[in-house]
Amino acid sequence: MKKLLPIISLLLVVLAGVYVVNLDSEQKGDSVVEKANKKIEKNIKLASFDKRKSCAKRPKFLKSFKIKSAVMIDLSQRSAKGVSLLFGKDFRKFLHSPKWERFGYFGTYTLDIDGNIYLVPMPFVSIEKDTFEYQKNLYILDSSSAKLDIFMSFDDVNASNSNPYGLSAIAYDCKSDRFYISAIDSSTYDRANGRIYVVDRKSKKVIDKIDGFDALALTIVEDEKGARYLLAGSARDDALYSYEITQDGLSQDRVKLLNVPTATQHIRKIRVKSKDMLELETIEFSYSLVASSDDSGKYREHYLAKYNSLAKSFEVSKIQP
Amino acid sequence: MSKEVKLSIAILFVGMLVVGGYAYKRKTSSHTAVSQSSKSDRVEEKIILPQYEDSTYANIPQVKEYVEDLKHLISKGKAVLPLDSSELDDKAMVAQEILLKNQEFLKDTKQDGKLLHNDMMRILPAIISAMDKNSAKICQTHSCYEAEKYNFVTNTTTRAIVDVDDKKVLQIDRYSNRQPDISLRLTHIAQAIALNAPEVKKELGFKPSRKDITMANVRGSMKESPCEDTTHLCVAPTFAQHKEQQALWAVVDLTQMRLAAAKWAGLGKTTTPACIGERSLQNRYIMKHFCQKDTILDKNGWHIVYRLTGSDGLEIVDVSFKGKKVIKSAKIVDWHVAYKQKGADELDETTTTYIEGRKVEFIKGNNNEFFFGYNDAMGCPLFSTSVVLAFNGPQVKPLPRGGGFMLTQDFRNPKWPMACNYRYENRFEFYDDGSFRVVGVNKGRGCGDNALYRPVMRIDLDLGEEDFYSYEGNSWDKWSKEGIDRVPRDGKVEYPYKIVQAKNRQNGYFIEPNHGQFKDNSRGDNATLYVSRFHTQEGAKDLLTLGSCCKLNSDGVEDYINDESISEQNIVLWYVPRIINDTRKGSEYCWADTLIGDDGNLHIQVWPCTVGPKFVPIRGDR
Repeated sequence: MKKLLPIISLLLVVLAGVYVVNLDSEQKGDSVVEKANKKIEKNIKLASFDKRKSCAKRPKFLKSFKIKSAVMIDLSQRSAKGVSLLFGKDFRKFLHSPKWERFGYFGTYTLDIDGNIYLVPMPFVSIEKDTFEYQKNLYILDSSSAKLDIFMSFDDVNASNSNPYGLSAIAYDCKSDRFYISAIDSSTYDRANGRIYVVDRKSKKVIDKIDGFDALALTIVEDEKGARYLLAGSARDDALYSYEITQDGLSQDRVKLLNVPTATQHIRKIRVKSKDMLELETIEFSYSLVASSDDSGKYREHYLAKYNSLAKSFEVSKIQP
Repeated sequence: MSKEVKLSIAILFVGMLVVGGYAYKRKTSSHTAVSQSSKSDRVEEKIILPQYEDSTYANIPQVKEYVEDLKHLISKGKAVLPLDSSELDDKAMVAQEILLKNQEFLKDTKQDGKLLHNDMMRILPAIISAMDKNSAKICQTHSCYEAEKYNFVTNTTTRAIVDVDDKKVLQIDRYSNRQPDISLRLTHIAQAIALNAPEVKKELGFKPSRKDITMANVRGSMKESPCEDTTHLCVAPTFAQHKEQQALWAVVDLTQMRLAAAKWAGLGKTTTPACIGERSLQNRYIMKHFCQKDTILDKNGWHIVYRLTGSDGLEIVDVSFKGKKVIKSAKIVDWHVAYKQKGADELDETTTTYIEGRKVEFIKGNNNEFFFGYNDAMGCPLFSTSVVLAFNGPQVKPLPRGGGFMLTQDFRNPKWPMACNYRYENRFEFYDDGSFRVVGVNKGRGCGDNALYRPVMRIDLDLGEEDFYSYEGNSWDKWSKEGIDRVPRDGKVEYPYKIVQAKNRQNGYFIEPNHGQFKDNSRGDNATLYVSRFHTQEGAKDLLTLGSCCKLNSDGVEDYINDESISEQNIVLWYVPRIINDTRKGSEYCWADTLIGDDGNLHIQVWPCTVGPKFVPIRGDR
């Protein structure tokens, strides 16, 4: 037995050595991943893009109200609580039902191929009894019946006193008949815990999900090479990011496209204005009720982002709306 | 010891030495790499908020001289402070002379008959991009100068193109909410403020001189101000420490002539702030230091733990005096704001009304009267449900008449003192004799006269099992059940209530309502007192809006008063003063106003109203 002692000692030393080297390579591995992420963040693949005709249709119920003119969906809460439709000369007439007030206030919307309006909730000004509960649902204003109802609920969305927001943005993808919906409910001062859900409209099933990103605005662009991207305005910084749209949902890699010049602004609306040109509307956003509930427009800023597809970079300039 | 054992020990010793050495080397090299990269890219940001009064800066010679020049200018009926000849060439001087007589250029220098503070900022040979077609054509053959003037009150820049040869103003453009490059004189003033700021000296660890400053963040023409309050003209002189790869950014507010905030940041691109706004610096500082963690204050025998809440203002918890427990929790959970108006019969209640971003509640009363208003929650500036937000952090100050200190927090609507915006102060006064006072201060301005303010104070003492008494006639009457009482207004009884430890009645506090005896110009509390049994869900954690702003027969606390026994229980006191504001000239109360002063600048005048009860320890001889 004594004769084995040197061998056992040698084995112990070798084991200790393997452990230390392994620990070291794990640390190295981390930094490789970090570097890779950094690389991905800078690697803009987007080619030249242009405005595309939307598949969205007008709500069918407009016919029964004999509204033929252009319609504006008004979520400003100036004319009424909830949702209103403005129409007529200078959009001075408005259509509203008291039943459209039953789920509180809305922050943004999208239309689908059948003319349904999907509405994303928003806490507005003060917290009422059901405010937090409302933030977990995506709502539908039915194209045929004009009835406002819950389209689907997200049980993992929990708005609270320390972050009154739940669902926050939506984009509809005509090609795949999918929604991209963001939630920012469980984010804290230190940590982005937001999600982007990819939802199949017909089955109402979440088919993919991105974790750890707080999106305040979403829109889809398709470039000339046919690659499709979800553009996302961040609630935490002044940047616009993109995720590549895949067959299964979204690529997990996030690419930063641009920063707006004012560091305190956050992108709330993204619109493809023309060839290689985005129009951005920004707000101050602090996960509280103050600036976002200011409807005077004073705290909103507007920018044009011109894309240079060769240099893979955006030039951002402030504009007067 | 056998040969094998000796060999084994040797293998183990040498092996561990090699492995340990390798591990140590890897650790130190990776640590060095991390710290090197963090130094260049990730110097930890540190935010410094101003702790000194504005008067600190008023005595700086450059500031003093500038303000005196302004007052002199205004007294002479002029509004535009011209550029000194040292900043102008001969032709620029001619251009300035022409412009200071030009009515169109000076059109925006008066408001309601009052002259407004304007500075000529720069006059330089004109550049083509600033000209319209007509000016460009003339200026091809003539000598043209471009001048910029800034109106400090309206935050407007006026740009003019002057044909110096023909002595004509060719073009005038106004840009509201835009700020120009600042003059050399203002640059020197900004430097002087930064150099004299006690916070800057303290942070740098030495008395800085002008050579230490770089003005990296002086704006290019028409860019945004670095101050969060973009209506103020602000610049950010910077003290760079290249060796440490960091810089101290001093945000100087040239509208108010003070240091607005300062911040340490790295010099690398990744952390150098493109814009370091005063408000965002404050928000981050407040969140990090007071919303995310408790702060401990030990002073004059008092031990106090405090924090800012999401919607219940400044809260003090676990307070003791000389080792004896005093307060479990005290805070102001809400301010109910109600306005009385005539015309209830014509009131349209079918649509929701908002004033300054708040939802307004309407309650019909008698005699064609109605009340409208809202509930104001105070709290953290980010990740909260408050609309009246913490400005600066909590501050500790001596009591004006000595004998103790106060812990105070300022809450404001960002646009205060504009109409329908509010400013509240949550204050806790701690006296050297063991007394303390829970204080709410309202600094207006609100939507006008006829305002009724009701701060809802929640006070949970830490006496163990407690009993509550009110003084009735000539004796103390113990309350056996939860209840409500209108607090006597006249002050005939010094202490109408007391709360004591059930097992030792000598351990407790008398309650002294405020009827104006505290020499703070208060017109009294006119309060209602609610005494309830402790339940966690009744305000121990952040409370959402409590009750109605405008039902004057209810403060919202009534829901917690439901006949429960409070004998030998953990008792919670809810104290709700009622304050009526006064806007009459000479007797203003709970009010704020903005006036144009003799220097042509806006000045805020505040008439605060202060309410809240004092708790006086029961001594054996009382």
